[in-house]
Amino acid sequence: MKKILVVDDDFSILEALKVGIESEGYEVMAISDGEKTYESVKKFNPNLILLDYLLSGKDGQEIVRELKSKRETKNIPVIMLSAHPSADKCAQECGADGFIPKPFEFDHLLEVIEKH
Amino acid sequence: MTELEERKQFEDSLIFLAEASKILSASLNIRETLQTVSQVAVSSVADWCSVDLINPEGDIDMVAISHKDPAKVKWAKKLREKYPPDLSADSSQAKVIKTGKPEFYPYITQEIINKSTQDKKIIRLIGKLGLTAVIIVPLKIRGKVIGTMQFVSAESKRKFTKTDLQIAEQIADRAGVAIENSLLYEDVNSERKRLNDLISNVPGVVWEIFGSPYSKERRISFVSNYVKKMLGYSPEEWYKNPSFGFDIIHQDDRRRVMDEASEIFSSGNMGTLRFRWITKKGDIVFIESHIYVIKNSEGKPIGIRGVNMDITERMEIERRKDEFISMASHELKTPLTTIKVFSHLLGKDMKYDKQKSDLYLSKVDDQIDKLENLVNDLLDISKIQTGKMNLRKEKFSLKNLIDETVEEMKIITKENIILSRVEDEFVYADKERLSQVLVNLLSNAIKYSPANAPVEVNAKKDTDRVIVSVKDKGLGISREHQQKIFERFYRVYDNFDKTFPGLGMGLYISNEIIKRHEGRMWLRSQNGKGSTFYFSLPLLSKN
Repeated sequence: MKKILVVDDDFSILEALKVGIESEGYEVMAISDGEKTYESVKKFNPNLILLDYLLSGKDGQEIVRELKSKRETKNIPVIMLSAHPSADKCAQECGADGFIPKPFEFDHLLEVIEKH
Repeated sequence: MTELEERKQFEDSLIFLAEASKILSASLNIRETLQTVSQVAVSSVADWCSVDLINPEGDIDMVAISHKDPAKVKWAKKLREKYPPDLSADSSQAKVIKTGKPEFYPYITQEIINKSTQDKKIIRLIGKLGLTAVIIVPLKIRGKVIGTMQFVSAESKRKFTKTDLQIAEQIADRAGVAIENSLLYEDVNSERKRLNDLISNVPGVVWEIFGSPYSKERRISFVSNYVKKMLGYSPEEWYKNPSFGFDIIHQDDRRRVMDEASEIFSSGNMGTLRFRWITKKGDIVFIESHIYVIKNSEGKPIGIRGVNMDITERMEIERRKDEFISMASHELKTPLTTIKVFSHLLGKDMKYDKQKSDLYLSKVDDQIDKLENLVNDLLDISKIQTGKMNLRKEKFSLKNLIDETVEEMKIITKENIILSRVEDEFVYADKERLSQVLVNLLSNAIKYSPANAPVEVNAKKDTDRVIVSVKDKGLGISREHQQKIFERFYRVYDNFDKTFPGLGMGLYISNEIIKRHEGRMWLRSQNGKGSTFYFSLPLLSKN
């Protein structure tokens, strides 16, 4: 079973994504604290990470860079989600593997998850 | 007169003509000049000499009068005051003014005196003067009569000849020219001052430069006083250095401005530039420069002129607007994302699971409520920013409003809210907006309070104000955040906020509402111990 880690500081989105992705048969870990991303990745060992761009406190970009710079985590695909207008450019710059603007078609999200 | 006497008289007249001409062309001070001319006249060619000018009201002003005897001059002035000339009467002067032709009386007889005036008094006075001969010549500017010059022979019994008349006419011509020059000079000066005053009121720097932007012979021909106000530099400092306006451009903009200005210059049209100027104090001012090319008669560009406006404020407003729109769209997209996911789930096989569908629908409903609140908050902010938040004030009991609001909140949130001490005071305020403030403070307190810890509300009178407080026993807010918490979109990125992400607009709006009621909002908080939010309102006196 494919494991997905979802990181978003908005509780409602987090809940929606967990329910939605789990219903497709994936195992989901959902966290709201960006700071805890790295340790969650180490613990949960996901096949894919869905990460919000504008997290309160720790910046989404920073998290991606950190993940991509470490040997154990750099091969895990990271997809950035955001409602922010200029986020797609930044997603490319920091090395994310994909970008989905909010709000999105759930089917599109599933496609991206399947692809990676 | 003997031939010798005649010749002497003629020579005197020529000398007088020469001297008078010199005097008339030497100065622009008309009164002074005419007085000097009349003095010279009475020292050589006449016993009396006077000059009258028609003033703007149509009356006659005596601007010069001379006689060798100062006592007689005094007397003549007094006489003039007592008997001001009536231009409508049939006097010789009136005739000269009307016809523009001189009057010449080479020999005055009693008959002539009697004919010149009805007034017996004047007849006697003329007799007293011992008038022998009179020349009255008109003073003209471009053919229009503006006054008269009088030469009178009395005690000396000098006889006026036709030559004397001609010379008097020549003096009058030159006097006319001198007067015209003086008036033109005054006009030019007052025009220049008027234009300068007009330009000083333009809220921008008006300037003019001759020469191409690259040439070394470039010179600043005009810069308005506004530079002092905008930049702290005086116009004098500008005029000293032909490239002043360029030298104070921000380093990073210089190249571009030079290129663009040169392009406008050679194209011969007009253009707009934006750049930054550095003020004398070292501050940055954002400038929008409107440039117009000056061309010579062959259409060749010979200079540029224009107006530079300070758009710093405008840019700041634009930046804030962009920032607001960006934040607002981001805020709105968040609940939309959730709604979309749950809608999708509702559309799938969940359709057949009633429990799940009910749950998802309620989630969607919650998000829609959130959206509605967001939209209202955004509208409020927009109103605040454009000054369109209208308050509908009325007198009411603050205690009643607090009681009602707290009751409603208790029902909706099922939380514990205690009214510990609410004094009964009356205020003059917008009931709905005040309720909005209370709800905001109460929701925040409930959000950030641990379960079962009650929220306390107080209202207390303090001289001429009432102070309302909402207290929670939550995690508290650290000092650095306390300063900024009332700012628009400020979110407390703190440990506790990560648990309850806020929107950042509620406190800003509440603060603005209280401010508009001439009140104040503040808070006391300690990390780990909870927070108390306060606001004050002016009390309505119980009369």
